Amino acid sequence: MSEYGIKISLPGYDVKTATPEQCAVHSDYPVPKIAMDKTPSHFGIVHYTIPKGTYVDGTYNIFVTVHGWGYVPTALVYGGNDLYFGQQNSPLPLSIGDSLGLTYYVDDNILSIDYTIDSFGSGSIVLDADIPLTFKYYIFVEDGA
Amino acid sequence: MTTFGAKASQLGYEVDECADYELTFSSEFPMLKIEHQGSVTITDSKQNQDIYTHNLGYIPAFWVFDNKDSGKSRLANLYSYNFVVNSTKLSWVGDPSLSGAHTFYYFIFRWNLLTEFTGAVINTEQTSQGSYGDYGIKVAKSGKSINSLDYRDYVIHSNCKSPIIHMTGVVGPYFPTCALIPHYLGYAPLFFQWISDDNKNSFKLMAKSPEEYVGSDETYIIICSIDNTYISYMVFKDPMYIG
Repeated sequence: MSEYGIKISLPGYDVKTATPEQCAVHSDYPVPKIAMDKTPSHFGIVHYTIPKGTYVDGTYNIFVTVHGWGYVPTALVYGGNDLYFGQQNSPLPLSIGDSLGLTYYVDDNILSIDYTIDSFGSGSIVLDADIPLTFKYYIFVEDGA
Repeated sequence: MTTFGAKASQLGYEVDECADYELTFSSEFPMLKIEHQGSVTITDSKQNQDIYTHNLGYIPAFWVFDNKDSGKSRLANLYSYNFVVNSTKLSWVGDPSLSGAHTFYYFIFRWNLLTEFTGAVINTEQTSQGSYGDYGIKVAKSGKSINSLDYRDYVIHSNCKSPIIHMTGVVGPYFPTCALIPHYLGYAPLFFQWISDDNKNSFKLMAKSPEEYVGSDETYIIICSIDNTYISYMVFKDPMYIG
């Protein structure tokens, strides 16, 4: 096979001698990709509020979307508590406080965002205020398993 | 030097008017290029294990995804300190509290985690996805057909958005307060981070903890950590929230 390809260097670098790191695009090195032409979208923002109340230990679903790739892709989810800057925009899985966890998984058909309650033995916890959450998810086309 | 360059927009965006993060690529900005990706099974999680020898001569950016639950994948934050990369290889650091075998999927990127880089902010104003004709660019991987319908067969494709690097750097080793780094994007951007506790000889995945985390708002990247650590950060041209 003949060798074809594309190489586009960054400003200030000669494309004939630029290393892959000095290129914006290099056909020997693919980049992670998120398909733009899928419905439902493979990226987006999710807002969800956990109402105050009593919660028994377990996993609770926040959001599910179908990607339909038929294989397990790579996916990233960022999120956290809207009320506290230090608890926002962090990559999941993560913990908020001692008993509340935010997690996600992607399988060969869906992406699911969930929260978990772990009372460390007492069986349940009480949330005395609503917890507003925001997430952003990205489902890539690249394999993730 | 005379200025040359190229750029292509994502599907449906006007290339001359769209925001930076609506581009498929621009020669103004580097992208997250994949050096290697693959699956690995840690056969005995209590023991150290080499995963991949990259021999890049620098410490590369990397991602690891947890496949502990069969048929599922999520970022390996729960094992963040078990993965370490140096200038030659990606390795698993054994943990006596773990047991059995664990399977993970990893990416190693052509990007030095010690690179200090700040891209220009050319246009951050969100535009509408419309119909601008069937134009675009696609580059197939070596040996793959340019007619493939599987996006995994492509290096780059206008029907896809890809992480465009806006800014990278390293902060540390002392954190009397959290570090605030202006990014000038005007929106809270997507980011990634790694942590070094051995004077930047190696880096690990960094998961959020009460003492260690990275966040972003419309003005700053905020980086908090404990003393005697370095945090390598990578900011992408992609808003977490907008509008």
